[in-house]
Amino acid sequence: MLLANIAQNLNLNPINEPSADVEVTSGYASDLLSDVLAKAKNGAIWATNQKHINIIGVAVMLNLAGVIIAGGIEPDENTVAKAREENIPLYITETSLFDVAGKLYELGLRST
Amino acid sequence: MTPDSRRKTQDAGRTTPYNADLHIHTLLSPCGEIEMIPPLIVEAAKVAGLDVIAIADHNSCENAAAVMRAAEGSGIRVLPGMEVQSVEGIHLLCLFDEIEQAEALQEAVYGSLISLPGGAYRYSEEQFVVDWEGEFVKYCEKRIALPTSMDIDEVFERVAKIGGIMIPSHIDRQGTGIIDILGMIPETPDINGLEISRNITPDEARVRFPSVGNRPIFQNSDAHWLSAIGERHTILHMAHRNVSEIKLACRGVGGRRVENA
Ligand SMILES: [Zn+2]
Ligand SMILES: [Zn+2]
Repeated sequence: MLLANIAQNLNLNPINEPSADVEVTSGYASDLLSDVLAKAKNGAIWATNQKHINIIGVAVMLNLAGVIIAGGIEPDENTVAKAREENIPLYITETSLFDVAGKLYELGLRST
Repeated sequence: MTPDSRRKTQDAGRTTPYNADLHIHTLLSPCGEIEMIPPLIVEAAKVAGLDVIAIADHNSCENAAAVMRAAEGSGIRVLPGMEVQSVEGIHLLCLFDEIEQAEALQEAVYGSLISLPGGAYRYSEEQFVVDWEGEFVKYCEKRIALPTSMDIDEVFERVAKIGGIMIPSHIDRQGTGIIDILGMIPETPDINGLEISRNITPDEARVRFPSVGNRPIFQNSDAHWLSAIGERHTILHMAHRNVSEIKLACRGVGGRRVENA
């Protein structure tokens, strides 16, 4: 599934979208970055309520397809700057983390 | 102060190794035992051979002044502080010299505690504010066991502005430690030092968590009951027992240093 489809389907608000022509192979939802580092797969789209700059570091390390900050939370300025610098697709949405994860699951994504 | 006289102060004289346990809860913390009253805390610190302690209840410093008073004449220096819970859920040890500084942070913390609807949960009944002899003064009515809405950067900036030091608490602990929550020690802000729990040694921490780098590591008791006080401590080589000296020790200025016991 393409990132563009997900962004459109969930009506995500792009904060940084270098390209939406990215293949998303799995999904993950967690607010513990250590848990994401340990368990999320390369190519995953990750939904979280965290807005700290380290979320971009995690996305880079795991080569994630993109990050969604859920629940109407605004990312820190340095988080946005880092996403631009590292070319990490970053989206925000008013939708709750629970609903974002549910919608990703409905679209057929799994965490494994 | 001129740059020259500043250098003189920073290099001045000898340093003394002070036994420090900078993370002690009182009975104000819901998880703190009822025995954690000012005179008994001071007595336990004395028995443990501590020279400097810090009072760090969750999101509150309402018992810190009482412990400072209880320690008058004991030879033990008490730093007022609190353990702030950031919006990310990170426990952050925030320490000051003067009670007014801690109270300035407390005001911001109280203003940003997440409020829950309803009164079904009688949270305040285990949050005792006491006087220096340990006599009951009042219940603390704030929900101090909940996170604040301040993120870690805001806590850091506020503490720095007030002249305190922010040390992430028990960085190895799951759920409340900075590494579990943020995956690694962030590059910014410029954190002076880190605290590890009783469950790990400084050497183990540096191996397990490479992002710790060469930052100084503090080990404290995080005591919630009397017998824990001083069970872990850090030896601070400083000219005086205050927060600016702790910062200098973190940077290794003028022979000052943070030594693990
Ligand atoms: Zn803690
Ligand atoms: Zn604690």
